[in-house]
Amino acid sequence: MEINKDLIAASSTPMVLAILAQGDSYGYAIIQRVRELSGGRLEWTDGMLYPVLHRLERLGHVEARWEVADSGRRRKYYRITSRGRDQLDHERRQWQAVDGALRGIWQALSVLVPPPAGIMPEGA
Amino acid sequence: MPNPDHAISLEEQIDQWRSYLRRRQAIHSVDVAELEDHLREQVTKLMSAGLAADEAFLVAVKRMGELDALSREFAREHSERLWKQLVVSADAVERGAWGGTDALIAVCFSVGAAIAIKAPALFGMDWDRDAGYYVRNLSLFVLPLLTGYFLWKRRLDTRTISWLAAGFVALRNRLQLEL
Repeated sequence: MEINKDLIAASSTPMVLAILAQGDSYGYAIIQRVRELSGGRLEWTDGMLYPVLHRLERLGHVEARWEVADSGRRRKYYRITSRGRDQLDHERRQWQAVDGALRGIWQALSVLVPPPAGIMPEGA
Repeated sequence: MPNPDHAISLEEQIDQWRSYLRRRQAIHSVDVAELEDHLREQVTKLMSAGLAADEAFLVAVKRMGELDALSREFAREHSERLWKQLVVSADAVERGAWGGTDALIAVCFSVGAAIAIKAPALFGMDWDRDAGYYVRNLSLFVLPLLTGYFLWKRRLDTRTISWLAAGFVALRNRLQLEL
């Protein structure tokens, strides 16, 4: 199943902030974490994460620092700020509201018709 | 163990990839360093999963995403960097690849100009004694080479080139009169 690009873009901010809320991280590791969390269904183009991180940095939701990694290479690490945590709470409430509304309608539908696979065949 | 031949070609490939990225106005060198760290980690992981260096590089580059799209995303986020793309035409940005050659050609033409200005000395002209001669004809020594450079740079068509050549022949005749 392929997830719509708009949905991927919209979920990128809460996803990145939530991952950083678990601990400081850097680009490559963040992408790996997204793959794990979504079972590979959220397919990010790797490079696209960086403009997202830079936007969060500009907005003051994260702060960045360069460190020398075990590999000996310089690596840019990101840390969530308190402002970023506020933003994460805010995003979370929004997503929960959307999710809650959809859950309601999914339930109502499932009473009337068989589960989703029956309504929308794969690839339709 | 990675094959040393592969290691060399991988470095070359990464160098090339880096230089492509650097030509993008919207992607600054500090971003290139960040993206390169990502690319290298991806390559390392893929190689430890059994891919050859060149295969790992291709997959890693593909996952990084298409450069145009990536550079657009960077430009969108770093809109303060956009003015360069507005001022420098897309054509000139494309020709960024000529940067190195450009400088080399410019040096060749300037060496040419230096030789040209020394040439009259072969015919007994003295820099101090015949200063007037040099001043009168300064443009003649320098202009043809400057024009040559711009011809190369702007890739003028042959028609324009032949008009310019005619102009120089006329100038040269005048010089012979002054001699």
